[in-house]
Amino acid sequence: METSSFMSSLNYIQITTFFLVVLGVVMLLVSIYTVLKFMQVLKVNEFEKNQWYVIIVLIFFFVVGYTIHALDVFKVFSFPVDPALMVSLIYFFGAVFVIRAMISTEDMVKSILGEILTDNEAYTIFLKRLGAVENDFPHLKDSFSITCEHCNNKITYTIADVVRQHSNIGDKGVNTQTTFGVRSILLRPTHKCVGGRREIITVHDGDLAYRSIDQSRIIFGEKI
Amino acid sequence: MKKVHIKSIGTVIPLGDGATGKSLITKLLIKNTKDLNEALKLAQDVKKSLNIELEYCNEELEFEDKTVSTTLQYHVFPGQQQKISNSAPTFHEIVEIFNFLPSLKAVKVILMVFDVTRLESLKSLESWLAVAMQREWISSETKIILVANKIDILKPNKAFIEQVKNGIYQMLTAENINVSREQISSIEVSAVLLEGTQELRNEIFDWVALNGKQRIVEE
Repeated sequence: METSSFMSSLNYIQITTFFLVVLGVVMLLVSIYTVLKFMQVLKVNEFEKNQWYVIIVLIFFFVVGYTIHALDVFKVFSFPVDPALMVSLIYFFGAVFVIRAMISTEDMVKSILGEILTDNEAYTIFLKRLGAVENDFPHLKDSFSITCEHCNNKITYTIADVVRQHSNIGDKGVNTQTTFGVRSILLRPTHKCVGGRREIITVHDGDLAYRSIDQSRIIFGEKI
Repeated sequence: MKKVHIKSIGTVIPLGDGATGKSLITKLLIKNTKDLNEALKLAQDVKKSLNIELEYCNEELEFEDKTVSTTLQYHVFPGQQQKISNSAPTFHEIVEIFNFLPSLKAVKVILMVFDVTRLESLKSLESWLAVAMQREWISSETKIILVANKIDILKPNKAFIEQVKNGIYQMLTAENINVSREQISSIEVSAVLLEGTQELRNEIFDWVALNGKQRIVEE
Protein backbone atom coordinates (compact mmCIF):
# COMPACT_ATOMS: atom_id res chain seq x y z
CA MET A 1 0.00 0.00 0.00
CA GLU A 2 2.85 2.28 0.99
CA THR A 3 4.77 1.32 -2.15
CA SER A 4 1.87 2.10 -4.47
CA SER A 5 1.28 5.44 -2.79
CA PHE A 6 5.01 6.18 -3.11
CA MET A 7 4.90 5.31 -6.82
CA SER A 8 1.78 7.38 -7.40
CA SER A 9 3.49 10.35 -5.75
CA LEU A 10 6.33 10.31 -8.34
CA ASN A 11 6.25 12.76 -11.19
CA TYR A 12 7.23 11.88 -14.77
CA ILE A 13 10.81 13.16 -14.29
CA GLN A 14 11.34 10.83 -11.34
CA ILE A 15 9.84 7.88 -13.19
CA THR A 16 12.01 8.55 -16.25
CA THR A 17 15.04 8.92 -13.98
CA PHE A 18 14.22 5.62 -12.31
CA PHE A 19 14.11 3.68 -15.57
CA LEU A 20 17.17 5.40 -17.02
CA VAL A 21 19.24 4.81 -13.88
CA VAL A 22 18.18 1.16 -13.59
CA LEU A 23 18.94 0.61 -17.28
CA GLY A 24 22.27 2.44 -16.94
CA VAL A 25 23.31 0.41 -13.87
CA VAL A 26 22.41 -2.86 -15.63
CA MET A 27 24.51 -1.85 -18.63
CA LEU A 28 27.44 -0.88 -16.40
CA LEU A 29 27.27 -4.23 -14.60
CA VAL A 30 27.25 -5.98 -17.97
CA SER A 31 30.28 -3.83 -18.92
CA ILE A 32 32.19 -4.98 -15.81
CA TYR A 33 31.44 -8.58 -16.71
CA THR A 34 32.56 -7.94 -20.30
CA VAL A 35 35.86 -6.36 -19.19
CA LEU A 36 36.53 -9.28 -16.81
CA LYS A 37 35.96 -11.74 -19.68
CA PHE A 38 38.14 -9.60 -21.94
CA MET A 39 40.92 -9.63 -19.34
CA GLN A 40 40.95 -13.42 -19.40
CA VAL A 41 41.75 -13.20 -23.13
CA LEU A 42 44.49 -10.64 -22.42
CA LYS A 43 45.97 -13.00 -19.83
CA VAL A 44 46.19 -15.82 -22.37
CA ASN A 45 47.84 -13.55 -24.94
CA GLU A 46 50.35 -11.90 -22.62
CA PHE A 47 48.90 -8.38 -22.91
CA GLU A 48 49.37 -5.89 -20.11
CA LYS A 49 46.06 -6.02 -18.24
CA ASN A 50 46.56 -3.86 -15.12
CA GLN A 51 45.24 -0.75 -16.84
CA TRP A 52 41.95 -2.51 -17.44
CA TYR A 53 41.47 -2.83 -13.66
CA VAL A 54 41.32 0.99 -13.60
CA ILE A 55 38.50 0.82 -16.13
CA ILE A 56 36.59 -1.61 -13.86
CA VAL A 57 37.08 0.68 -10.86
CA LEU A 58 35.79 3.64 -12.87
CA ILE A 59 32.75 1.69 -14.05
CA PHE A 60 32.10 0.72 -10.45
CA PHE A 61 32.22 4.41 -9.44
CA PHE A 62 29.62 5.12 -12.08
CA VAL A 63 27.36 2.41 -10.65
CA VAL A 64 27.70 4.01 -7.19
CA GLY A 65 27.18 7.51 -8.62
CA TYR A 66 24.07 6.48 -10.56
CA THR A 67 22.61 4.80 -7.51
CA ILE A 68 23.25 7.78 -5.23
CA HIS A 69 21.79 10.09 -7.85
CA ALA A 70 18.64 7.96 -8.10
CA LEU A 71 18.22 7.84 -4.33
CA ASP A 72 18.66 11.59 -4.28
CA VAL A 73 15.98 12.06 -6.93
CA PHE A 74 13.58 9.89 -4.90
CA LYS A 75 14.46 11.82 -1.75
CA VAL A 76 15.40 8.53 -0.05
CA PHE A 77 18.88 9.77 0.62
CA SER A 78 20.18 13.26 0.30
CA PHE A 79 23.75 13.40 -0.96
CA PRO A 80 25.56 16.28 0.75
CA VAL A 81 26.66 17.74 -2.56
CA ASP A 82 24.99 20.39 -4.65
CA PRO A 83 23.12 18.70 -7.60
CA ALA A 84 24.93 20.93 -10.10
CA LEU A 85 28.29 19.87 -8.65
CA MET A 86 27.13 16.24 -8.76
CA VAL A 87 26.40 16.52 -12.49
CA SER A 88 29.81 18.15 -13.01
CA LEU A 89 31.48 15.31 -11.09
CA ILE A 90 29.75 12.72 -13.26
CA TYR A 91 30.81 14.64 -16.38
CA PHE A 92 34.38 14.85 -15.09
CA PHE A 93 34.67 11.18 -14.25
CA GLY A 94 32.97 10.39 -17.56
CA ALA A 95 35.83 12.24 -19.25
CA VAL A 96 38.40 10.41 -17.05
CA PHE A 97 36.78 7.14 -18.03
CA VAL A 98 36.83 7.96 -21.73
CA ILE A 99 40.48 9.04 -21.74
CA ARG A 100 41.53 5.99 -19.71
CA ALA A 101 39.64 3.69 -22.07
CA MET A 102 41.20 5.39 -25.09
CA ILE A 103 44.73 5.15 -23.65
CA SER A 104 44.24 1.48 -22.79
CA THR A 105 42.89 0.76 -26.25
CA GLU A 106 45.74 2.67 -27.88
CA ASP A 107 48.29 0.74 -25.80
CA MET A 108 46.71 -2.54 -26.75
CA VAL A 109 46.54 -1.70 -30.44
CA LYS A 110 50.16 -0.53 -30.37
CA SER A 111 51.06 -3.71 -28.58
CA ILE A 112 49.28 -5.80 -31.22
CA LEU A 113 51.00 -3.86 -33.98
CA GLY A 114 54.27 -4.03 -32.07
CA GLU A 115 54.91 -0.31 -31.73
CA ILE A 116 55.68 -0.24 -28.04
CA LEU A 117 59.21 -1.63 -28.02
CA THR A 118 62.22 0.47 -29.00
CA ASP A 119 64.84 -1.11 -31.24
CA ASN A 120 67.19 -1.70 -28.31
CA GLU A 121 64.46 -3.28 -26.20
CA ALA A 122 63.52 -5.52 -29.13
CA TYR A 123 67.13 -6.62 -29.69
CA THR A 124 67.47 -7.36 -25.96
CA ILE A 125 64.35 -9.53 -26.07
CA PHE A 126 65.69 -11.32 -29.16
CA LEU A 127 69.06 -12.05 -27.54
CA LYS A 128 67.37 -13.21 -24.35
CA ARG A 129 65.11 -15.50 -26.36
CA LEU A 130 68.14 -17.18 -27.98
CA GLY A 131 70.28 -17.07 -24.84
CA ALA A 132 72.93 -15.15 -26.75
CA VAL A 133 74.88 -11.91 -26.63
CA GLU A 134 75.16 -9.21 -29.27
CA ASN A 135 78.62 -10.31 -30.41
CA ASP A 136 77.25 -13.73 -31.35
CA PHE A 137 75.51 -12.26 -34.38
CA PRO A 138 77.46 -10.14 -36.88
CA HIS A 139 74.23 -9.41 -38.77
CA LEU A 140 72.04 -8.64 -35.74
CA LYS A 141 71.22 -5.08 -36.75
CA ASP A 142 71.10 -5.58 -40.51
CA SER A 143 68.05 -4.80 -42.58
CA PHE A 144 66.79 -7.63 -44.79
CA SER A 145 64.64 -7.61 -47.92
CA ILE A 146 62.43 -10.30 -49.36
CA THR A 147 59.68 -10.35 -51.96
CA CYS A 148 56.28 -11.79 -51.13
CA GLU A 149 55.21 -14.23 -53.83
CA HIS A 150 51.54 -13.48 -53.13
CA CYS A 151 51.49 -9.67 -53.41
CA ASN A 152 54.86 -9.27 -55.14
CA ASN A 153 55.73 -6.46 -52.75
CA LYS A 154 59.23 -5.97 -51.41
CA ILE A 155 59.26 -6.44 -47.64
CA THR A 156 62.08 -4.95 -45.62
CA TYR A 157 62.51 -6.00 -42.02
CA THR A 158 64.94 -6.00 -39.15
CA ILE A 159 65.17 -8.36 -36.19
CA ALA A 160 63.66 -5.60 -34.05
CA ASP A 161 60.67 -5.37 -36.42
CA VAL A 162 60.04 -9.11 -36.12
CA VAL A 163 60.19 -9.01 -32.30
CA ARG A 164 57.83 -6.03 -32.23
CA GLN A 165 55.40 -7.72 -34.61
CA HIS A 166 55.24 -10.73 -32.29
CA SER A 167 55.70 -8.93 -28.98
CA ASN A 168 52.63 -10.62 -27.50
CA ILE A 169 53.59 -14.14 -28.53
CA GLY A 170 55.83 -16.32 -26.41
CA ASP A 171 58.34 -17.11 -29.17
CA LYS A 172 58.55 -13.43 -30.30
CA GLY A 173 58.52 -14.57 -33.93
CA VAL A 174 61.91 -16.26 -33.53
CA ASN A 175 62.77 -19.95 -33.60
CA THR A 176 65.88 -21.99 -34.18
CA GLN A 177 66.36 -25.25 -36.00
CA THR A 178 69.43 -27.41 -36.21
CA THR A 179 69.74 -29.61 -39.27
CA PHE A 180 72.73 -31.96 -39.50
CA GLY A 181 74.47 -29.80 -36.94
CA VAL A 182 73.87 -26.61 -38.95
CA ARG A 183 71.96 -24.01 -37.00
CA SER A 184 69.25 -21.98 -38.71
CA ILE A 185 67.36 -19.10 -37.16
CA LEU A 186 63.79 -18.80 -38.38
CA LEU A 187 62.16 -15.37 -38.28
CA ARG A 188 58.56 -14.53 -39.14
CA PRO A 189 58.25 -10.97 -40.45
CA THR A 190 54.68 -9.92 -41.24
CA HIS A 191 53.27 -7.56 -43.84
CA LYS A 192 49.96 -6.41 -45.25
CA CYS A 193 49.22 -8.77 -48.13
CA VAL A 194 46.38 -9.79 -50.39
CA GLY A 195 43.66 -11.22 -48.16
CA GLY A 196 45.03 -9.95 -44.87
CA ARG A 197 48.21 -9.84 -42.82
CA ARG A 198 50.72 -12.50 -43.85
CA GLU A 199 53.77 -13.85 -42.10
CA ILE A 200 56.63 -15.36 -44.08
CA ILE A 201 59.10 -17.72 -42.47
CA THR A 202 62.59 -16.52 -43.36
CA VAL A 203 65.63 -18.66 -42.75
CA HIS A 204 68.83 -17.06 -41.47
CA ASP A 205 72.12 -18.72 -40.74
CA GLY A 206 73.86 -18.87 -37.37
CA ASP A 207 75.29 -15.37 -37.94
CA LEU A 208 71.81 -14.09 -38.81
CA ALA A 209 72.71 -13.57 -42.47
CA TYR A 210 69.67 -14.10 -44.67
CA ARG A 211 69.56 -17.52 -46.28
CA SER A 212 66.14 -18.16 -47.86
CA ILE A 213 62.41 -17.90 -47.38
CA ASP A 214 60.22 -20.78 -46.36
CA GLN A 215 56.45 -21.11 -46.16
CA SER A 216 54.02 -18.27 -45.47
CA ARG A 217 50.50 -17.95 -44.10
CA ILE A 218 47.77 -15.41 -43.47
CA ILE A 219 47.62 -14.66 -39.75
CA PHE A 220 44.81 -12.07 -39.69
CA GLY A 221 41.92 -11.89 -42.10
CA GLU A 222 41.14 -8.99 -44.38
CA LYS A 223 38.88 -7.22 -41.89
CA ILE A 224 41.50 -6.90 -39.13
CA MET B 1 92.54 -52.98 -77.92
CA LYS B 2 89.29 -54.71 -77.24
CA LYS B 3 87.33 -53.31 -74.33
CA VAL B 4 86.17 -55.44 -71.44
CA HIS B 5 82.38 -55.73 -71.18
CA ILE B 6 81.12 -55.58 -67.65
CA LYS B 7 77.64 -55.76 -66.17
CA SER B 8 77.09 -53.67 -63.11
CA ILE B 9 74.00 -53.47 -60.97
CA GLY B 10 73.12 -51.29 -58.04
CA THR B 11 70.21 -50.33 -55.83
CA VAL B 12 69.08 -46.75 -55.63
CA ILE B 13 66.86 -45.61 -52.76
CA PRO B 14 65.29 -42.16 -52.71
CA LEU B 15 64.52 -41.06 -49.16
CA GLY B 16 62.64 -38.06 -47.89
CA ASP B 17 59.30 -36.80 -46.69
CA GLY B 18 56.09 -37.19 -48.65
CA ALA B 19 55.50 -34.64 -51.42
CA THR B 20 59.18 -33.82 -51.82
CA GLY B 21 59.25 -35.31 -55.32
CA LYS B 22 60.83 -38.75 -54.82
CA SER B 23 58.40 -40.60 -57.07
CA LEU B 24 58.44 -37.99 -59.83
CA ILE B 25 62.23 -37.69 -59.85
CA THR B 26 62.51 -41.49 -60.02
CA LYS B 27 60.11 -41.65 -62.96
CA LEU B 28 62.00 -38.88 -64.76
CA LEU B 29 65.32 -40.63 -64.21
CA ILE B 30 64.00 -43.98 -65.37
CA LYS B 31 62.28 -42.63 -68.47
CA ASN B 32 65.18 -40.25 -69.12
CA THR B 33 62.60 -37.64 -69.96
CA LYS B 34 63.82 -34.58 -71.80
CA ASP B 35 60.46 -33.23 -72.91
CA LEU B 36 58.80 -30.72 -70.60
CA ASN B 37 55.28 -31.73 -71.59
CA GLU B 38 56.02 -35.35 -70.81
CA ALA B 39 57.50 -34.28 -67.46
CA LEU B 40 54.37 -32.30 -66.71
CA LYS B 41 52.18 -35.26 -67.56
CA LEU B 42 54.29 -37.49 -65.31
CA ALA B 43 53.97 -34.92 -62.54
CA GLN B 44 50.19 -34.93 -62.92
CA ASP B 45 50.07 -38.73 -62.84
CA VAL B 46 52.18 -39.10 -59.71
CA LYS B 47 50.09 -40.17 -56.74
CA LYS B 48 50.87 -40.55 -53.09
CA SER B 49 52.83 -43.80 -52.69
CA LEU B 50 51.26 -46.32 -50.34
CA ASN B 51 53.62 -49.19 -51.05
CA ILE B 52 57.14 -49.86 -52.25
CA GLU B 53 57.66 -49.06 -55.92
CA LEU B 54 60.31 -51.11 -57.70
CA GLU B 55 61.58 -49.81 -61.01
CA TYR B 56 64.52 -50.72 -63.22
CA CYS B 57 66.48 -49.02 -65.96
CA ASN B 58 69.59 -49.84 -67.98
CA GLU B 59 72.23 -47.92 -69.80
CA GLU B 60 75.47 -48.87 -71.45
CA LEU B 61 78.33 -46.63 -70.43
CA GLU B 62 81.57 -46.39 -72.37
CA PHE B 63 84.81 -45.92 -70.48
CA GLU B 64 88.36 -45.80 -71.83
CA ASP B 65 89.06 -49.44 -71.08
CA LYS B 66 85.63 -50.94 -70.62
CA THR B 67 81.99 -50.95 -71.53
CA VAL B 68 79.66 -51.19 -68.56
CA SER B 69 76.06 -52.31 -68.94
CA THR B 70 74.61 -50.61 -65.91
CA THR B 71 71.32 -51.52 -64.27
CA LEU B 72 69.73 -49.39 -61.63
CA GLN B 73 67.15 -50.88 -59.30
CA TYR B 74 65.06 -48.12 -57.79
CA HIS B 75 63.32 -48.87 -54.51
CA VAL B 76 60.91 -46.05 -53.72
CA PHE B 77 59.33 -46.27 -50.31
CA PRO B 78 56.34 -44.26 -49.09
CA GLY B 79 57.40 -41.00 -47.51
CA GLN B 80 55.21 -41.06 -44.43
CA GLN B 81 56.82 -42.20 -41.21
CA GLN B 82 53.66 -41.60 -39.17
CA LYS B 83 50.49 -43.68 -39.45
CA ILE B 84 47.77 -41.65 -41.16
CA SER B 85 45.19 -44.40 -41.71
CA ASN B 86 44.82 -48.15 -41.39
CA SER B 87 44.92 -48.59 -45.15
CA ALA B 88 48.12 -46.57 -45.61
CA PRO B 89 51.23 -48.42 -44.44
CA THR B 90 54.12 -46.37 -43.16
CA PHE B 91 57.67 -46.41 -44.44
CA HIS B 92 58.78 -48.53 -41.48
CA GLU B 93 56.04 -51.13 -42.03
CA ILE B 94 57.01 -51.47 -45.70
CA VAL B 95 60.72 -51.72 -44.88
CA GLU B 96 60.01 -54.45 -42.32
CA ILE B 97 58.18 -56.47 -44.99
CA PHE B 98 60.73 -56.02 -47.77
CA ASN B 99 63.92 -55.93 -45.75
CA PHE B 100 64.77 -59.49 -46.83
CA LEU B 101 65.39 -58.32 -50.41
CA PRO B 102 69.05 -58.95 -51.26
CA SER B 103 69.11 -55.70 -53.18
CA LEU B 104 68.65 -53.84 -49.90
CA LYS B 105 71.84 -55.38 -48.53
CA ALA B 106 74.05 -53.45 -50.93
CA VAL B 107 72.58 -50.06 -51.61
CA LYS B 108 74.74 -48.10 -54.03
CA VAL B 109 73.01 -44.75 -54.14
CA ILE B 110 70.84 -42.98 -51.59
CA LEU B 111 69.02 -39.93 -52.83
CA MET B 112 68.15 -37.67 -49.94
CA VAL B 113 65.36 -35.62 -51.44
CA PHE B 114 64.05 -32.45 -49.85
CA ASP B 115 61.80 -29.60 -50.90
CA VAL B 116 63.72 -26.32 -50.86
CA THR B 117 60.53 -24.45 -50.01
CA ARG B 118 60.06 -26.49 -46.82
CA LEU B 119 62.99 -26.40 -44.43
CA GLU B 120 61.16 -29.04 -42.39
CA SER B 121 61.69 -31.55 -45.20
CA LEU B 122 65.46 -31.02 -44.92
CA LYS B 123 65.27 -31.38 -41.14
CA SER B 124 63.41 -34.69 -41.64
CA LEU B 125 66.34 -36.04 -43.64
CA GLU B 126 68.13 -36.45 -40.31
CA SER B 127 65.67 -39.14 -39.34
CA TRP B 128 65.75 -40.64 -42.85
CA LEU B 129 69.52 -40.86 -42.68
CA ALA B 130 69.26 -42.42 -39.23
CA VAL B 131 66.97 -45.08 -40.69
CA ALA B 132 69.44 -45.76 -43.52
CA MET B 133 72.25 -46.12 -40.98
CA GLN B 134 70.18 -48.35 -38.74
CA ARG B 135 69.29 -50.60 -41.71
CA GLU B 136 72.98 -50.69 -42.68
CA TRP B 137 72.23 -49.40 -46.16
CA ILE B 138 75.29 -47.15 -46.15
CA SER B 139 78.79 -48.45 -46.77
CA SER B 140 82.03 -47.29 -48.33
CA GLU B 141 80.41 -48.06 -51.71
CA THR B 142 77.31 -45.96 -51.21
CA LYS B 143 76.93 -42.60 -52.85
CA ILE B 144 74.76 -40.16 -50.92
CA ILE B 145 73.25 -37.43 -53.05
CA LEU B 146 71.44 -34.56 -51.40
CA VAL B 147 68.75 -33.61 -53.90
CA ALA B 148 67.39 -30.08 -53.48
CA ASN B 149 64.11 -30.25 -55.39
CA LYS B 150 61.74 -27.46 -56.53
CA ILE B 151 64.45 -24.95 -57.35
CA ASP B 152 62.05 -23.43 -59.87
CA ILE B 153 60.28 -21.92 -56.84
CA LEU B 154 63.28 -21.07 -54.71
CA LYS B 155 67.04 -21.18 -55.17
CA PRO B 156 68.76 -22.87 -52.24
CA ASN B 157 71.66 -21.24 -50.47
CA LYS B 158 74.81 -22.99 -51.71
CA ALA B 159 76.85 -22.31 -48.56
CA PHE B 160 74.07 -23.84 -46.48
CA ILE B 161 73.96 -26.94 -48.68
CA GLU B 162 77.73 -27.34 -48.26
CA GLN B 163 77.33 -27.09 -44.48
CA VAL B 164 74.57 -29.70 -44.56
CA LYS B 165 76.78 -32.07 -46.58
CA ASN B 166 79.51 -31.66 -43.99
CA GLY B 167 76.91 -32.34 -41.31
CA ILE B 168 75.86 -35.55 -43.07
CA TYR B 169 79.48 -36.65 -43.28
CA GLN B 170 80.03 -35.96 -39.60
CA MET B 171 76.83 -37.80 -38.68
CA LEU B 172 78.01 -40.87 -40.61
CA THR B 173 81.57 -40.85 -39.31
CA ALA B 174 80.31 -40.35 -35.75
CA GLU B 175 78.59 -43.73 -36.18
CA ASN B 176 81.85 -45.24 -37.47
CA ILE B 177 80.50 -45.69 -40.97
CA ASN B 178 83.40 -45.79 -43.36
CA VAL B 179 82.60 -43.15 -45.95
CA SER B 180 84.70 -40.48 -47.59
CA ARG B 181 83.62 -36.87 -47.94
CA GLU B 182 83.57 -37.32 -51.75
CA GLN B 183 80.78 -39.89 -51.40
CA ILE B 184 78.44 -37.14 -50.34
CA SER B 185 77.37 -34.80 -53.10
CA SER B 186 74.47 -32.51 -53.80
CA ILE B 187 72.47 -31.48 -56.80
CA GLU B 188 69.81 -28.86 -57.39
CA VAL B 189 66.78 -30.11 -59.26
CA SER B 190 63.50 -28.87 -60.61
CA ALA B 191 61.50 -31.96 -61.48
CA VAL B 192 58.86 -29.96 -63.35
CA LEU B 193 61.36 -27.97 -65.43
CA LEU B 194 63.79 -30.88 -65.80
CA GLU B 195 66.61 -28.76 -64.40
CA GLY B 196 69.39 -30.87 -62.97
CA THR B 197 67.68 -34.20 -63.69
CA GLN B 198 70.11 -35.16 -66.45
CA GLU B 199 73.12 -34.39 -64.24
CA LEU B 200 71.55 -36.41 -61.45
CA ARG B 201 70.93 -39.34 -63.80
CA ASN B 202 74.51 -39.25 -65.08
CA GLU B 203 75.93 -39.08 -61.57
CA ILE B 204 73.92 -42.10 -60.45
CA PHE B 205 74.80 -44.16 -63.54
CA ASP B 206 78.50 -43.25 -63.32
CA TRP B 207 78.65 -44.26 -59.68
CA VAL B 208 76.83 -47.57 -60.14
CA ALA B 209 78.84 -48.36 -63.28
CA LEU B 210 82.08 -48.08 -61.31
CA ASN B 211 80.94 -49.16 -57.85
CA GLY B 212 78.02 -51.52 -58.46
CA LYS B 213 77.94 -55.26 -58.10
CA GLN B 214 79.96 -56.26 -61.15
CA ARG B 215 80.35 -59.29 -63.38
CA ILE B 216 82.60 -59.57 -66.43
CA VAL B 217 80.58 -60.63 -69.45
CA GLU B 218 83.40 -60.91 -72.01
CA GLU B 219 87.01 -59.85 -72.39
